[in-house]
Amino acid sequence: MKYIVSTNDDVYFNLALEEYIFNNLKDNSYFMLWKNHDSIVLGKHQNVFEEINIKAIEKDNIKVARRITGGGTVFHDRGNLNYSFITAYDKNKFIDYDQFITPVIEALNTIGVKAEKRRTSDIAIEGKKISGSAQTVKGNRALHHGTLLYDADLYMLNHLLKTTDGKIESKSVKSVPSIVTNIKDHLGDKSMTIDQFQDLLLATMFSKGIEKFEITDQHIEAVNELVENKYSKWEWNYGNSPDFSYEKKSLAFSKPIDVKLTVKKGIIHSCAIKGKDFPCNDMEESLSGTIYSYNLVKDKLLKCNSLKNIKNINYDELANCFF
Amino acid sequence: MKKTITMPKLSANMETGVLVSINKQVGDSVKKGDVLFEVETEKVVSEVESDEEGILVKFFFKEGDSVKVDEVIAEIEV
Repeated sequence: MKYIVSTNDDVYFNLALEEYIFNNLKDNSYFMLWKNHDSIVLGKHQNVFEEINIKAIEKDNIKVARRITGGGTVFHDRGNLNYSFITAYDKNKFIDYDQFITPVIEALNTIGVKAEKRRTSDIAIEGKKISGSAQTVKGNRALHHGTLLYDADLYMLNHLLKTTDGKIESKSVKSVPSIVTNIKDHLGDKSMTIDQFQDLLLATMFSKGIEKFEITDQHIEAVNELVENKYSKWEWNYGNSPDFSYEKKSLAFSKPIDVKLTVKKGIIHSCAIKGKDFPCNDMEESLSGTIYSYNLVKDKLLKCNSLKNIKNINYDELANCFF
Repeated sequence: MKKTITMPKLSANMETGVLVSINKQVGDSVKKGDVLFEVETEKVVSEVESDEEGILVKFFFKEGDSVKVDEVIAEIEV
């Protein structure tokens, strides 16, 4: 096994690097450590609109990235350390989380963190989650990766993963929310930075030594190509969401308004609005075909001529009725 | 001759898997190693490849369906 520590904190780059190694470097096993700048990372078959606080993510310009493994949505920032195992996989054996999670738990225990396995694929301290993991298998290769909340902004995590209070129906894979905690809060020595924690984890997990994998310019070029053609694309991150229907009953300027939408590949396919004090037909027509984005929906409402006759209209309040 | 493709048992505790993606349609020709569909269970995505060469003649489920282990998902005319 060889190790890679990514020096890039771009979520698209790191996910592309991981996939590149998974698909192309089959001669060896790899252990990769990586951190991302503030971002949301969702499971391969999730409905992004069902998992995130769309308005907050657009307002704060948070990158949203779809990964190639299963499972639920997580928040990453520079206080969260990710690890990946990219190894051979025997099709005739069952999928196993323990072979990857156990060495991480043992290393955490050695460092002085009372971490233990929880459910199939999580690591927790006193019942609070510090790590979730997921996998993908293809042919004779497996990719297992997980998060390690070290010193992450848990306010942002909860804020950005707060979902709509409207009703969404889809056949997507759903996230399972957990109470989380940061590893740092459970360490005797709280002066350790995440970079020091990363080095310590690597040294503890591979106490007999591990060779470093040198990423070449050629690798970087191929990874950047994958970023450009896949990971940075709206079509991959948002458009790949399973179709869904959305329903919300709200009040806008103290008047009731009921919204029903169907969204296909991230685009509003049909829109039915009920509210006797609103020019519903005009709004319906204007929103059909629009990308299901808070900013774009609000823009469309701003351009709706018949809404301009409503006194003291608050477009944010009205746009909220659609999310 | 018809060959059936069933829901694989991917982990010791697996009873059902979700058919998260269908990559071949009825009528498509299929080669060995082609990804037929993707299954998700316990946060694992598995791309199920064909061991046969032929034409996909039947597909019994839709994307998003939960399928029991060993249940027939598709038929290939080889």
